[in-house]
Amino acid sequence: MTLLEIKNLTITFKTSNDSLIAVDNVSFHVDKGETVGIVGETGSGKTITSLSIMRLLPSNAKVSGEIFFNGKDLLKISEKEMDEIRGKKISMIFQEPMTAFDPLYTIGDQFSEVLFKHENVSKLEAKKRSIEMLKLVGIPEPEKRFYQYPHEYSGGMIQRAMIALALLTNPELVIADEPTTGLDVTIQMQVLNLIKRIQRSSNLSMIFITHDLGVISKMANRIIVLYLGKIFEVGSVKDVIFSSVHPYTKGLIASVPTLKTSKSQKLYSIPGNVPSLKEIKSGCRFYSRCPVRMDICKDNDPKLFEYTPGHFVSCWAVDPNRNLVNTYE
Amino acid sequence: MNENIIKIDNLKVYFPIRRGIFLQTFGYIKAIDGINIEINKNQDISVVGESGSGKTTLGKSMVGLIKPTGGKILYNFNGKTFDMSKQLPIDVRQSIQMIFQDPFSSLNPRLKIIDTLKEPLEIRKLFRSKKEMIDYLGELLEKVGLKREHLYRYPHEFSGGQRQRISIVRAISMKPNVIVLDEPTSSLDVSVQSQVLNLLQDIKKEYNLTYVFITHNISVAKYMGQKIIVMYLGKIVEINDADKLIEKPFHPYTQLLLSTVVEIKSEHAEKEVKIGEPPSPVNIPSGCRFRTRCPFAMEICAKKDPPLSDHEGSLVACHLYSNQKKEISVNNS
Ligand SMILES: Nc1ncnc2c1ncn2[C@@H]1O[C@H](COP(=O)(O)OP(=O)(O)OP(=O)(O)O)[C@@H](O)[C@H]1O
Ligand SMILES: Nc1ncnc2c1ncn2[C@@H]1O[C@H](COP(=O)(O)OP(=O)(O)OP(=O)(O)O)[C@@H](O)[C@H]1O
Ligand SMILES: [Mg+2]
Ligand SMILES: [Mg+2]
Repeated sequence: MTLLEIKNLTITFKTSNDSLIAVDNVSFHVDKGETVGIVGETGSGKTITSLSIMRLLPSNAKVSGEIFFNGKDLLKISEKEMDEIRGKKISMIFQEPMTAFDPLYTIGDQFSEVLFKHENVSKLEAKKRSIEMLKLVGIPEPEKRFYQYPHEYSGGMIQRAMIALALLTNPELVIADEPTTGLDVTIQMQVLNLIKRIQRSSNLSMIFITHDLGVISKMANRIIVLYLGKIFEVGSVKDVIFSSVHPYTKGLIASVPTLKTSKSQKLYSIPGNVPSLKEIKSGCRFYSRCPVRMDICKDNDPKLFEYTPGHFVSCWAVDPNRNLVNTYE
Repeated sequence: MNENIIKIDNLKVYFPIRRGIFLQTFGYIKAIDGINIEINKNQDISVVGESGSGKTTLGKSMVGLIKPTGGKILYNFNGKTFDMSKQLPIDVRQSIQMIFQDPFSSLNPRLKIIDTLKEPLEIRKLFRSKKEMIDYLGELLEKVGLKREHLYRYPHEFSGGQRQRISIVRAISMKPNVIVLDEPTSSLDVSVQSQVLNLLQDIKKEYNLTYVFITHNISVAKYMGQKIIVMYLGKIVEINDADKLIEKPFHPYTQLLLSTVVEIKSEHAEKEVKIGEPPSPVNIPSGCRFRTRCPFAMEICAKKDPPLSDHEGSLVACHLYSNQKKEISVNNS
């Protein structure tokens, strides 16, 4: 069953002299109990896509398209209605825990606050639920920790507390934006296992954002590869990681040194740099860096098509419609 | 015989914890607590360990940015031995360079690239004319995939990967023998990381450099170093050839680190690894400092700090191997 369905999402930023399309006609869905991973390099639009679902984009952003959550278009409902969904039905885990917590209040106060806002609970009940949740994410001595301030938590603990906060209201969808970036591998493993365990046991739906291909292949059921605001490839982990089709996906995967990479072997690297949004021209936005580019790619933006069942790619090199375009020219 | 380029002898770096209006010393953070390393010329070393294990402190001590509390770092340069904690002639000091993690803070935002790059060269008067120096720097920029005209731009006009290339140019412009790299690719995207790592490998060969590569990514450590040093709370727990250390880690901490690596295209078994919380660096456990997280902790571990000693070619600091040399089967992932 589909929980979230995004259709033709486009996000444009107005700057003083021009406007930039940062997310370009993106469509995807998240099923109940499913984790969809979004992977992409810096600036590809991962964060603003998730902020648009929460309706938390900055004021200079213009959004078009549809975001159906339980059949309701989140872009059309009133702010009051959205306020009831945000933090209750949909919650977010951030990379930087300090964006989720206020340093001036105890963890307990901040947990209770969320429960008071969304559920009609007593103070005692709020405390009980908060402590249970802290315990669930493995915070030692949760009764004591309830009264502590964020800075009294260690790095790994505060990250887990944020996960606890996001899960407190039994949300249906959790969006995790780089929840382990910058953590030690040991703590990362702890946090990933925790998220996975909770996600399974409560049949939660998740959007898991990262630029780490290893992490995403551990966490996601399906993966979306984003490049400069466009979806290049979507499919199961098996499709996207093990049988990738798009030259960008292939390039990314080959760039990562693994424990098996030998020292004498040169790492693959995608030539050039990610262009800026301003530099995007009419054709495929990977054109300038693509090892298999063709003439058609220069002026025609490829569309996402179903390469094999459930596996979508936007690349002319494998698109059967390529010839149709050619005959037009 | 390999030429010894750096010898670290019982290095200790303690940071005082001060409190109160008179800033009394309340104790010490033992960031480096007695370590010995020998680095041979052209034998790149990678240093791994969790946050707070002392990697950066070690790197800064090697280039003379931190004065040791105890012990020595001896550096061989042109057949002479220098103590890194002493005042050094400029050519010696510049021959051991450091590149930092954050390409955004390591370049002065108010200076054009040329002004940042020329400063250390002018101190040494390496060039007869300004033009000669600019030619030299322009060539280096081209070598790392940038352009000559970039000399006249400001740091904010560059991406993270480009700034890291500029830091590399700055380091190699002084014709060093050794470069300490402190997480040089941690803030970069994977595609940029691979470009920078390849560049570092090429430059190493061309300039005959020895790298000390600090990272928390073990795959990168293996790719960049012939040897890997594993640090835990200011001590070395294991040193071995990179391939061997990955293939057969002996220290329980090395095993823990390896079992938490999340890699692409590998099976992510759903094993629950017991990870534990690292203890506070102010209150280091008695005996072996890893014992509070160690699944094999024994009585002796609380009493005696195990020394680094040879076990099947690896240097390991663990009681499992120290006394009786018998093999104890450990559940190697
Ligand atoms: N308030 C804003 N005004 C103008 N442009 C913006 C604004 N916020 C984001 N952008 C642009 O939108 C694009 C996508 O940004 P976003 O933060 O979603 O990237 P990301 O994929 O999350 O990157 P990262 O991996 O660095 O977090 C970028 O080009 C960014 O510069
Ligand atoms: N200038 C300083 N004053 C006081 N304590 C310090 C100072 N520099 C480092 N420390 C402490 O010394 C210990 C080792 O720090 P160091 O920065 O060397 O660790 P690291 O291994 O580089 O960690 P990371 O992976 O987070 O960079 C830490 O406990 C740190 O808090
Ligand atoms: Mg982001
Ligand atoms: Mg460091």
